[in-house]
Amino acid sequence: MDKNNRYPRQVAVKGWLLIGGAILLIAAGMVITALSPVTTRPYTKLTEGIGIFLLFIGIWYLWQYFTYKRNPTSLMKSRVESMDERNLWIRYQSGNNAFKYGITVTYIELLLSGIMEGEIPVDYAWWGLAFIVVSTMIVYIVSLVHYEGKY
Amino acid sequence: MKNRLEELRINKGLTQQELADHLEVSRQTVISLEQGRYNPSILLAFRVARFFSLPIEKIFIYEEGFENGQK
Repeated sequence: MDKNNRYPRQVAVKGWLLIGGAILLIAAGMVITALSPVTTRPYTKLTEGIGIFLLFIGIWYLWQYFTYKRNPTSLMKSRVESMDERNLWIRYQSGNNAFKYGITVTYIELLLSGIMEGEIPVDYAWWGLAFIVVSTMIVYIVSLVHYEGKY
Repeated sequence: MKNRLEELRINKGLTQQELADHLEVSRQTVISLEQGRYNPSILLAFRVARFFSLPIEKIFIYEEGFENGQK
């Protein structure tokens, strides 16, 4: 099987595996929720949440596969785009920037938390963590746009 | 780093998209290479050289002072 045929098959297999895994996680979450005490609910909801996330990724893979079945050039084009070395280089550089930013901001939050000796209100801690996640993503996207223009 | 990619592509009568398809890269990569904004990996440089049946140094021209990073 040449790589042109292998790639669509890999996409379909990934899609079905992710959907299978997602269904298992969602089902496990539901069963544990039904059987366990109320105090464990946040964790079982988290399990279900991860399952739903995987389900969407799986559906996206399968959507790509069925689009390929209708139009074989579309998936090969997306394969070239995803494997393109310039794109990979830009993603690598952007990821590097986002990582450096994320680790710095997290360290600052840890220092602040240390200064406040654990007295940091839960609401502020939550907003702080949410800020780190969102701003790290923004740094990644801005870096992508910057390097796309530069290179 | 300078290169003769555009000249060689035009001599071969290819569009940027056609060259990109042959090299299995995106059209944007061919554009960036031609404009000297992006330096290819050694693997891509070999693929380009093999495609045009020329030695790498006949296509990509190394200049002092551009050792680090792109350009």
